[in-house]
Amino acid sequence: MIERVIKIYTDKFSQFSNTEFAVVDEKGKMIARTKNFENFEKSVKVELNSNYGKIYLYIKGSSDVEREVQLLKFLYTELLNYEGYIENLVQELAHRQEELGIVYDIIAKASLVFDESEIVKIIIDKIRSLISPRACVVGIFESGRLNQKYTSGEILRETSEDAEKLIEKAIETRNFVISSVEYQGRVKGMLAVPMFSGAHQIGGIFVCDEGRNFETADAKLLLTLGNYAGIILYRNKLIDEIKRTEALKQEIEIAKRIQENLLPKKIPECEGLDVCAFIKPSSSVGGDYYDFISNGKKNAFLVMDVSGHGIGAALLLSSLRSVVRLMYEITPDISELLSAINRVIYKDTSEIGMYSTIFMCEYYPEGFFVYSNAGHVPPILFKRDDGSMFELEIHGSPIGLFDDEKYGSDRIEFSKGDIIVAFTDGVTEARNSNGEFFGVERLKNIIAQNFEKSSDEICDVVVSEVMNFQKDVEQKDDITLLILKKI
Amino acid sequence: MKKVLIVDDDITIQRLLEFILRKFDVDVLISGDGDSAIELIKSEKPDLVFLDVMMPGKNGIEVCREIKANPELKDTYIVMLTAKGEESEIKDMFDSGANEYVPKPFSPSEIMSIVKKVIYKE
Repeated sequence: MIERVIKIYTDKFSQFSNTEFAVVDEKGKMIARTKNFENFEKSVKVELNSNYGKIYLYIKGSSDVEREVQLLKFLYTELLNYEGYIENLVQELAHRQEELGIVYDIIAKASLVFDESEIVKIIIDKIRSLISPRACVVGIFESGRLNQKYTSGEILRETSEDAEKLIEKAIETRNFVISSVEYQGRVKGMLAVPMFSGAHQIGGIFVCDEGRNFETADAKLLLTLGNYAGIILYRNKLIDEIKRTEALKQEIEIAKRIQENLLPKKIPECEGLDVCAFIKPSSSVGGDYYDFISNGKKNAFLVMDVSGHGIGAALLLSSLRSVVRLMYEITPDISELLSAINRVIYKDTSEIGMYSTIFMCEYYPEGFFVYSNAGHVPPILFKRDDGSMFELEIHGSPIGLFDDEKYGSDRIEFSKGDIIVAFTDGVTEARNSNGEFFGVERLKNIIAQNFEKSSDEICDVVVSEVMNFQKDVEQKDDITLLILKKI
Repeated sequence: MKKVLIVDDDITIQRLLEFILRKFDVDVLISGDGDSAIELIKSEKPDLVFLDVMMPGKNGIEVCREIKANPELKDTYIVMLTAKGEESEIKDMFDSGANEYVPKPFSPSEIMSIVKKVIYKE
């Protein structure tokens, strides 16, 4: 290319000057000459140094040859320097073009893929085609730690350690890091680049090879690749999060529907009893449930709270509901009923760590209740005659915790104006902005101040007090109330 | 009587562990936060502590580190309770000196076998 440029400019110079001169390379080959230059006789030889080796000017003498020599020497030196600058620019342009090619290639392939391992495979393939390393490691941050998730080539333990150190250094400096070590008498070249997406640290890429050191040009290419790989991997992470959130939302919706459909549609008519039941599901849907069951002779009421949230809790709840309803038909005693349910449910729950609390009571119109409790928060009994209050304590572990649990029962007199308030921990463990619990004492105070009211009205007061107490704090658990009042 | 301390800000977990521990002849102590747990460990010197990792204020790892750094209390057997997704903290847990960890939700048999091993040397 330089010869062509020298020819063009020699022609141009000859148009403005009568000086005869020629340009010759260091091997003696004539590159260009003015039209009037015929031979080298009586010419002045001027040596020029350039990136292309030595160049000689042969200038024929005239009256002012010294001035002509200075002028041509200056012009050709500038021309050669300028040509070097242009060639650097061309090389830079070619490099940029290569980078753009990488970017285009990666974006075109990886943007159609939504699986992290597939994306990394595309990245590794590109690295191989660009710099053919012996081994390649792609490290990605997960839960704050750099996991060397993807590797290609032979990764020895020390390679893995080198990769970790070098990637960390590259992330720290947000630039490429070139390094080398002697390995079994041979040089091992190493290179690492970070992967970022804006300010988010995504990870880094490490490559190594035996018998060669990596060049800055390799590093720049890998850095470009790392930059775009970081953006694509981050985009993928965001998409995954959106998918997970959507899946969770769907799961919550399903759980909510299961829970709503299982609840009894109407309050039963019970002689001498004013009944109210209420449930306010939390945003994540817990496993609260209440039910009214009749075997034709007696009416039973229950409140249960299945551990956990979402579909798992809703399914256990559904299964418990069926078992309780079915067994109430055939088991006359509610403590025996809970023991039997526990034996059935334990087989399914013992290994998955799920369980359920159940408070169950049977109403006898003659004026008493029989109750049993499988680990549920003790309900409150209010006695109208002296205003006293009791917590219906009776020991029993939650259903599904131990296979051999035996439940007991107790009997309480239930006279006119007496109230039972059964509830789930969503009521007493509701927190305010200071982190304080609503607590049992507040609930007892509400009962004491509102005992003259109907069960519906008492329920309204409790719910509004709990809501006022929580104010803007998120409701973490379902709130469930079952209020029974003797009229 | 041997003492077992439950440290968790979640009352449901406190209650669940209490149900399980009631199967044994042990004194069950309960604490809902890190600072009061440290005071209880100093005053009651429990033989076994079930310690939740994620608690408001001083977290379980900080509590464990403080207990294990105290020459009088360093032999306290500490079992960390971790929520699913906190597995990345396992290294921090063991660095703090915890003896073992149990991920939530746990089964009663997991808790019972720890009690049998630590308290009854079975």
